[in-house]
Amino acid sequence: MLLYTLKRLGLAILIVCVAMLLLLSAIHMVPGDPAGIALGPRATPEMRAEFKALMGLDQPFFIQYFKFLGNVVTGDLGVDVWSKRPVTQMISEQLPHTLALALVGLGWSMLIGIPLGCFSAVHRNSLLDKFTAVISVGCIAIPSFIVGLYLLLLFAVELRWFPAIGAGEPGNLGDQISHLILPSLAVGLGWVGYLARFVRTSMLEVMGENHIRMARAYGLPTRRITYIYALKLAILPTVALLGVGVGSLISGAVFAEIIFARPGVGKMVVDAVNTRNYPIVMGGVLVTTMLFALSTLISDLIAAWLDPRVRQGF
Amino acid sequence: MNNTGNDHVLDVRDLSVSFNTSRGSLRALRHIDISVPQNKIVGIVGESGCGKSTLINSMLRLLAPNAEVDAQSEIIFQGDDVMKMGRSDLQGLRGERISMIFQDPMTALNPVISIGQQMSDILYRQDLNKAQKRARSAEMLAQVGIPDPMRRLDDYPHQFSGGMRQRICIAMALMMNPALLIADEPTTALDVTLEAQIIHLMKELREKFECSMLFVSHNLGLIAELCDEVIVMYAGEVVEQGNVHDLFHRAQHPYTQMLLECDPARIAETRRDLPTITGSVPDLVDLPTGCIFAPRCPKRYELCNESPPGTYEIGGQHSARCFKVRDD
Amino acid sequence: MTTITPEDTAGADAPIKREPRLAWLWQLLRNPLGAFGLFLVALIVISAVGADFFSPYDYKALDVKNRLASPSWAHLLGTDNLGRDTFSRILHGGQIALYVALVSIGTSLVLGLALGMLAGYGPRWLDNLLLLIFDSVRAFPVIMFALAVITVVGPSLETIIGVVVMTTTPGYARIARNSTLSLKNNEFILAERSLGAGTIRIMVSHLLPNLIAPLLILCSMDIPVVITIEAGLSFLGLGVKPPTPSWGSILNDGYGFIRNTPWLVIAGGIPLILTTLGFTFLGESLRDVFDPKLKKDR
Repeated sequence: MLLYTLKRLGLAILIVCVAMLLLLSAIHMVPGDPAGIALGPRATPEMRAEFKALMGLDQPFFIQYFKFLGNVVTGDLGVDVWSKRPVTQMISEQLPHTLALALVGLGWSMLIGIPLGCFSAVHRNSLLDKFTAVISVGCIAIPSFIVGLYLLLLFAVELRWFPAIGAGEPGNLGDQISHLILPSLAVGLGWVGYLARFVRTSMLEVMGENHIRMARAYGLPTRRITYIYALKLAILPTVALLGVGVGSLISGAVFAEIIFARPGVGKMVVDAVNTRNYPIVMGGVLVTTMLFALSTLISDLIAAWLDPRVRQGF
Repeated sequence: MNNTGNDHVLDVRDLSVSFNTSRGSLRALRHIDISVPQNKIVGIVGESGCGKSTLINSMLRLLAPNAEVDAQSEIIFQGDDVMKMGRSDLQGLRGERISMIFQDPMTALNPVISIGQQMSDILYRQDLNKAQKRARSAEMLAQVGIPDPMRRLDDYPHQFSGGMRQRICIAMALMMNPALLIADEPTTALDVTLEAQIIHLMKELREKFECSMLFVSHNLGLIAELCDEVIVMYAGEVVEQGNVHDLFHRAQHPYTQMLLECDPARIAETRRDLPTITGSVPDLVDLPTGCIFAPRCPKRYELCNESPPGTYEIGGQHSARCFKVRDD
Repeated sequence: MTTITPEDTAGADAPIKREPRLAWLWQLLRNPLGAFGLFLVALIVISAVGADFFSPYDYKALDVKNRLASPSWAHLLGTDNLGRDTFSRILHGGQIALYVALVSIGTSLVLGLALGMLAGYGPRWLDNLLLLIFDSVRAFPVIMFALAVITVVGPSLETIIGVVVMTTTPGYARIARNSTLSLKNNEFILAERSLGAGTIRIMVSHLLPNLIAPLLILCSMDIPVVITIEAGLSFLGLGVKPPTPSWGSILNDGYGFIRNTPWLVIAGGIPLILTTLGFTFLGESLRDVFDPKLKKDR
């Protein structure tokens, strides 16, 4: 298990590094002068030069990249162009909000998706199953920000059941929870579809296996067979899926933060884009990418640990 | 014991099972009449697709959802008709009065649950606490020859070899002291040395636990060695049955005779080709009129193609489904 | 000695059925989801292509006195914050959406095919390198990647297309690579090479027919994703420039005035929902039609 963990960790770090390399090269491959674009057509050559120097854009590409990596390792993600505050600090202030949103969203999708998939498998080809199949595709297809907008419109603006803006008063947990419900639902609903289908397929596959047949032959209660013998095995690949889901949930969180005017990394980055606040944008992208890689890593490790065959093999 | 008045543990009467498929009704079993006497081993022999699996699945009512059992079919186990049993009675039957050992030990056990837990789960109907269930499980493991059983209860199936897993399955089957043990080709997936061990173990335990056994196999040698009575199946029908001596030395049905001739173990002289039975198994959706084996039978005559034969007695327990038996 | 000739073999041979042309299309239509998806897609495409024809008003035409009106016979979906007819804007928004989708996916397809074949056919290190790059691109949440690029390059339709190409190419490349790899070692390829057929010729004539189905499926699943990205970025104000009527920018306008009227948000959302549902249903049904192995739970 330890060896497996180290291997996966190494791979994750490698991928993040290459990803950042790609990002930087993508930006550099674009024709045009970043300083000119950022500062607008009225910038003087001196202003542009100063901007470039500030951003470190005046140095050769690979030097920039390695400097960036070096900085990341020491925790220095640069300084906010306008307020001069360290980016790392600003991100760590906003990150908990985004994480809360993404995790609660994940919770929603698990809460709704897993039982739905399970029931569909057990009552195969029933009306519920067919209904779930269509709904699943719907959830996957419809963009999460549309869901967010409609939820906002219906429940916050028209019905006024939930607040529309902000994260609630700090320290007041109940208030914060009520502020969290709609946005997290918007974020998580998309994944209900993926999870339901995946769990269904996984369960059906497991239920056709010999050991389930044997459990039935021994007269074990159906409930135990379905929810423990079958589900325990079926859920393993689902865990890996959840890790990938966090990536799309983070994207969804960006929109949810904008729509519900919540603080978070997403909102911060979007505002920074509009003000050409390059360090914040890069910092935000780096952090979310690392989060995504981390969540994929964790879910792979959990899946490996849950399967005793893997756990003891190493 | 049982209350039918005879000493049969199991009496299958006129069992017919069909499956609803897109092509039509697949008649998998037709008018099966077999019985398993108390404390005896009955072997079922037949090639793939002859209906052995459907037959044993019927006994525990583990058939697929598209299966249809004919109304007049009866499976009398210790005096009760399995076909008419309610849900809870059926649960009480499975694993407790009738147990099954599966063919492939590698896939028969749940890989993510410890074997101790799987064994304790079988005991859920008993009024025992956790420690008692574990003790009983360890005791059974010891009986089948698993060393250090108490510690191994917490191990997972993949930590055991194929042979040991089959032993565990045997332990699980005998744990509730069933009256009937059904073994579905238990050694097919094992190599020859393991096979010998497992068979030896099964013989020993069966005597100890005093249960009857239904032993399904396509290995004639094994059947000859192990069984008291033999049933030969072909394409959904019982074509011959009798005690092991009669069947192997005085087989009457042409199919049985050819099976015996084709058994590589019985070939006396070295030859270049192995004998086979030409032709293929009939289509169970579109059954031929007449005897089911007629298309491939070397001894058929006109009557065989026109109407299906009944089951005719040869002597004692020995009977066969062939016109020749009636007419000779 | 024991060989017997049977009089008749059991089971008559079934007559061979000929597959009609476009069999997949009929199969698709028999599936209710597939038919529905096809219908929605056709609806969107026709309304987008014929946007100029179907629009009752010029989508740029202002009518400020009439701003934020609810739906009526004059304005089927109401008007936006500048009095422009929402319905006309929606129709033209379809043009934007489809344009982005077609251009970016088309480019990704070509690029992905080329890269994938390169990875499959070329030396091992190249394959590993390309795979690493593909996996790294997938490590980004797409929106974040887009935001980073936009910061430097500035928002525009071209930027969006560029970002989409970069993030969707790996998907196509992977399929092409896997097919190439499995084909590379296939016996009849070796046979053909021994007969002197050139590499390119082999790849084109053998590879492409096998790839059509999975690529087609991937395309119809990617189209809604791409349209969503464009709409999302436009919603954030970082996509197309006004007065271009992207569905996302209509939603953005609607969001700003959500307390004045719900209709702009509702109207902006509907075409997105229909489009994404339509293409996804279509893609799912295509997958069922072409790859019954995936249907093993039916």
